[in-house]
Order: sequence, then C-alpha cells, then structure tokens
Amino acid sequence: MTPTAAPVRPAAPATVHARRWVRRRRIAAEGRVDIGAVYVVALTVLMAAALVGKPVARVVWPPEASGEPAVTPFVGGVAVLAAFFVVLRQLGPLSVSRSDATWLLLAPIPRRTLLAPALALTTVAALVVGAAIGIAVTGRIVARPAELLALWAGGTTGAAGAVFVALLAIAGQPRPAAARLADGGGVAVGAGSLVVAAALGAAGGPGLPTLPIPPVVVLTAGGAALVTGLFLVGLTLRTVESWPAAPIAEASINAGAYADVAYAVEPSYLAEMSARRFWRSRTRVRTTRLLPTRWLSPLIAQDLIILRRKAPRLWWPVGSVAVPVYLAEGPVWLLLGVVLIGALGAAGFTGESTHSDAANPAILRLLGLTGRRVAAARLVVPAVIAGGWLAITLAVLQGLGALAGPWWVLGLLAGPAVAAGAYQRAKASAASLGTILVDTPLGAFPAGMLLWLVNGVDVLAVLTLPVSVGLVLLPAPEVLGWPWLLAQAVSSVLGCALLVRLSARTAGSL
Amino acid sequence: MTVVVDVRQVTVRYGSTLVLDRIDLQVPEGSAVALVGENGVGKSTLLRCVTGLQEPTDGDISVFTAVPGRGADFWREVATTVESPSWYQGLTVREHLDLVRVVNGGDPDDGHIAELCVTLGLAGLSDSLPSTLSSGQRQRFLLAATLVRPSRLLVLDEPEQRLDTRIKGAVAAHLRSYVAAGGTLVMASHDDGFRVGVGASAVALIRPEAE
Repeated sequence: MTPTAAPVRPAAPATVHARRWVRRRRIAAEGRVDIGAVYVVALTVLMAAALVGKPVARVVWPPEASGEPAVTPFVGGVAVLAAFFVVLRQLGPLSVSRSDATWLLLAPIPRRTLLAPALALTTVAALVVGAAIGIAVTGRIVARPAELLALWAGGTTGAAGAVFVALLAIAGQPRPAAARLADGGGVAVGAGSLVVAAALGAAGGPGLPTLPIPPVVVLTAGGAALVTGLFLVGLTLRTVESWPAAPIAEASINAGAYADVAYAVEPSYLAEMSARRFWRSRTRVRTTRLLPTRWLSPLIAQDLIILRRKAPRLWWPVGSVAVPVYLAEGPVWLLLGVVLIGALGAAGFTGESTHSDAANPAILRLLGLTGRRVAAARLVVPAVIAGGWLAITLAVLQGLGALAGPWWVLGLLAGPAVAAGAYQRAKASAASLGTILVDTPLGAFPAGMLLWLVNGVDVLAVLTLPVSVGLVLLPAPEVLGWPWLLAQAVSSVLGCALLVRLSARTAGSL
Repeated sequence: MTVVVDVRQVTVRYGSTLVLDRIDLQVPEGSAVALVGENGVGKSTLLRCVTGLQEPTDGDISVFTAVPGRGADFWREVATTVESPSWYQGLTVREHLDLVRVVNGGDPDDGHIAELCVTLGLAGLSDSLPSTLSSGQRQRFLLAATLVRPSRLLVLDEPEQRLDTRIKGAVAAHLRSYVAAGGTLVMASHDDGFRVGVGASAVALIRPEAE
C-alpha cells in the first residue's frame, strides 16, 4: 500500500484573485450585464434627476445670496456631515456582499483585496457629499456672480472634511465600544447643529467678522487637507489586514438587508432590523420595579420603560423640533407635512411593542387582554409624546412670529390624534403590507413601500384636520380662536375612541 | 368530575393529508394527560385545536364547556406554549414575568416568580433581554412565562424539550404540584421518564391509515 505523504507544512496561500475568479464564473453562467438591471437603474436615475434635480440644485446653489459671511450655513454643513457619519456607521462602512462574507471573508485571501472596492466607494461618496456640502455653504456666503476659485475652494475643503468623517467612521468599525460613543456623538452633533442653526436663523443669522482670507488660501489649505485625508485612506487599506472578521461580517449582513429593502421595496423590515440592533447593543439594561407598581397600568409602565431605555435615541425627535423653524417662511404644505410627520415619528417611538403584538400575538394571549384594553393603554404614552412635541414645535413657530394665539394648546390637544395614527402605523406588519403586488406596464411592483409610507398617515391626516387647516388659513397676524381647540379636542377624542372600539373584543388580536 | 377538555370525533386534514382521524379525548379537571406518538401523528395539531388556534376539519371541541379560543375569559384560564415564541424587544426576562403576572391579577412579589426562576435556572438571567438568550434559555424563559401566571388549564407542547436532566426533574415536580392543586394539564411529550415524573397518563396517537 502506498503511504499517503502528509505535507511538511501547509503551503502559503497563493495570492489568488478570488473575487476576479468568482466574477468570471458568474459571467460565464449568467452573462456579463443584465440589460434589465441597466434599464431600471438608468430609468431610476433619470426620473430622480427630473423629479428632484432642480430643487436639489437650488438647495446646493441658491440663485440669491447675501454675500455676507454668516455662521448658519457652516452649522448646517456640520449637521449634514454628522448625518453622513451616522449613515456610514449604519452601513459599516466597509462591507462585502453576503456571499463574499460567507465564502471569502474567512478564506486565506488578503483582506485588502476584499475590502478595496468598499473603501473606494466610501471615499468617492465622501468626496461627492463633501464637495456638495462645501459648494452649498459657499453658495450661501458668496455674492453673485461667484468666482470659480471660491467654488473650488469650498468644494475642496468640504470634500476634505467629509473624507475625514469617513476615516472616523472606518476607524470605529473594528472598535465597537468606541464606535458606540462616536455614534452618540454623531447624533448629538447633528441634532445639536440643527437646533443651533434654527436658533441662529430665528435670531436673524448673525454674521461673521469679515476676515480677509482670499479664496486661494482656502483652496490651498483645503487641498492640503484633502491630500492628507486621501493618504490616510491609503494607509487604512493596510490596517484592514489586522481587522477581526466580526465587524466586516456584521456590516455585510446589514448592507445586505438594506439592499433587500431597496430591492423588495419593503422598508418596514428596516425598522425591525434597526430595533434588533439597538436592543442588542444595550448591555447595561437593569430590571426596573415599575411594572409591579399598582397605580400604573402595566402596559403604560411597559411603554415608559421602553421610552427610558431608548433615551439615547431621543436626540432625533428633540433635534427635529427645530426643522419646522427652517420652513416657517417656506411653502405652507411643506411646513404642514414636516410638522405632522415629525409628530408621527415622535409618537412612534414606543411602537415596537404594538408592532410585535400585531406580528405574533402569542404574548397577548398569555396576558389574556382584549385588543381594546391593549389599544387604550398603548395610546397613552405616544399621545403625551406627540402632544409635547407638537406643543413645543408650534410654540417655537409662535415665538418666531409665524403664528399667533394659543397654538401650543392646539398641539397638546392633537397629541392623541397623532397617537392614533402612530398606533395604526405600528400595527401594520411586513407580512400584511409587503405581499401586495400592483400590476404596472413594466411588470408587477411590490406596493410595500408606498403602503408603508402612507400607512397611518391617512388616519393622521383626518384626525388632525384642525391643525392642518389652521396652519393653512391662519398665518400670523390671524389669531387662533378657541373653536379650533374645541374641534381638535373632539377630533382627538373621537379618533381614539373609534380606534379602541374597532379593536378586537377578544384576546390575542389587536 | 367535571370534564375540562372534551374532544369528540375530531378530524384534521392538511390538503389531502389526513392528520387526525375521528379522535376522542376527555380530560377531567385536576388530571394530567400526555399525548405520545411518533413525529407527525398530530400531537401539536390536536393541542392547537384544543386551544382554539386551529379549527378542526370536522368534529367538536369544548373547553370549560365552551368553544375554545373565544374571548379574553378563555385566555385568562388557559396558558399554552403551542405557539411560536414571541417577546417584547426592550423588556428584560424578569420584567416579562412581572408583566404576565401583574396583568393576570397575580402579585409579582409573592415569591412565585423568584421560586420559578430558581427551578428553571433563570435566576442569573433576570436582567437579560430575551433576544440575547440561547435557544435553551429561551425555552425555559417561555415556559416560566406560561407557568408564572394563574391558570386552570395548561396546554404544553413538549415542555421537556432542550431542558437538562436536573431542570427537567424540577419542571416535572412543578407540573405535578400544579395538577395536585386542581389544575388540568394536557401536553405532548416524547420523554417517558418526564411523563411519569409529571404523573400524566399517556394517550397514544397513531398515524391514520391512508385512504
């Protein structure tokens, strides 16, 4: 019998271009490019350009500018950079496709070759976003006609800033504990900047002292920073070799899920995934003694516990109070939309329990509660949050002089109506919406996204009519009268009562 | 003695597959019954019918002399683990047990929860979120949530699943005392030792003959 010789030592892995090999096999099996995909992407880009191209261009480069240096555009730029950081952290930012994560991530292949495309994509995104921010800020402080040099200076400096933000996001990826702090910082800076920018806007936008910095100096400094940033990106490609596999694998799963959401047009899954990630990252949860309290309904106590634990996420509703301030002078329909959707978002803060009960009511049966009792209890905390959010927002608009009369009371009274909309929204599960297909000439279209977007908004629109009509008909100096308050109170009470009445009388369903 | 679960001539079909064929089962109050038989004989299906979560194709079922699964009153008397597990994302293990006990009118501080947590080996997991538990721990947590609330009928689908020997013995003793105190138990089980530990009489289901 011939003995089988064992290798003396495992051969060092050859530098195999595994991805190229996989790509070639895939091309051999499926052809080079799917013409349908090209068509869909091209159509999407063209439609997006036609629909939102003009307004976006006006936001980046407004036709009029004061020509005076002011603080507000810079603060706004910081807010957008913070949002960019948060988005990058949600996506990874360095991830690979799910199949690569399964088959290649744990194989003896240089991690550099695996992650180079993601790093390149992140860098290009940072350059584009940063340049747009830089040009937008320049567009607000430079008099017309603007010098081309000033445009270059703004674009380059903005791009350099965004590249450093991307580097920070990448540096956080293999360090989860530090990254969680950075995430909190990013959200706080974003929300804080929004509030500061709104306050500055309300104060009339204080100017900066005119410093004689010629654009060429800004361009040189920005250019130097950009070159440094790109050099550091190059260095990052070396450090990824020593990264553990876990953060890349997790980022790949998340990015894959986002791709699923975009492909299947089913965004409610995203909310569930985000909730799961959030709760998994809570490591210092301690049992409270609120539930055994006799003076509070257990389901309300449950909502309060969730609210307390989600406090790190309260920054967004708090920061978003400032958004309507920007729009006080803009078209009323936009202001109206932002006010109502902002309130709906705030009211949905504790909606996870309702969503999980709608998806699987096993606990409701264990609790032995009727749908009516559950609905009545689950409306209370969202009503208070939404009422508070609306009261503050409308009071701020009142303070700015855009509205006159007891608007903050109207906001408080509209809280329960918004809570009813949020409850309806939380009840809709992925299974109930995502499978509805709408036939179009281009093929069947899953209507999940559209239905998810309008779900609950219909209830909200009807029940908050007094707020909507008031905002349209009663800009200052018109004063809001008490009949409006009465109408909103009646609408809120009727809406909640109807919602409770229509809920199941049996246990185990909502 | 009062019959709590009364199953008469129940037939269940999934498409052309006959799962249960004219089954009769009467479970008196204060007794324990274990459905036994190989995989696919319809044990879980029969338990789901008893809880009203599934309509039989034919036949009649009454629980506490009423159609099962209707109304909050039914679910206040019946606790079950026949459903796929579910929990609230942001509540800890102990808070879930408090919630279930408080809502069902029990006192969460009477020592019942603490005792069950010790029995089921959950004492060190009070502050954990259910999503962070292993599958075995989750099984024990859901069993605890079912046992922690007051009930008159327990419908359990293989409660011994994924339990280690020590905890299995403790759960069997707990169920035995539940029945001794007047509760009624209907369960499916693959473990004869566990069934004997509970003191449940075996009801063997067999796969119906193909038509």
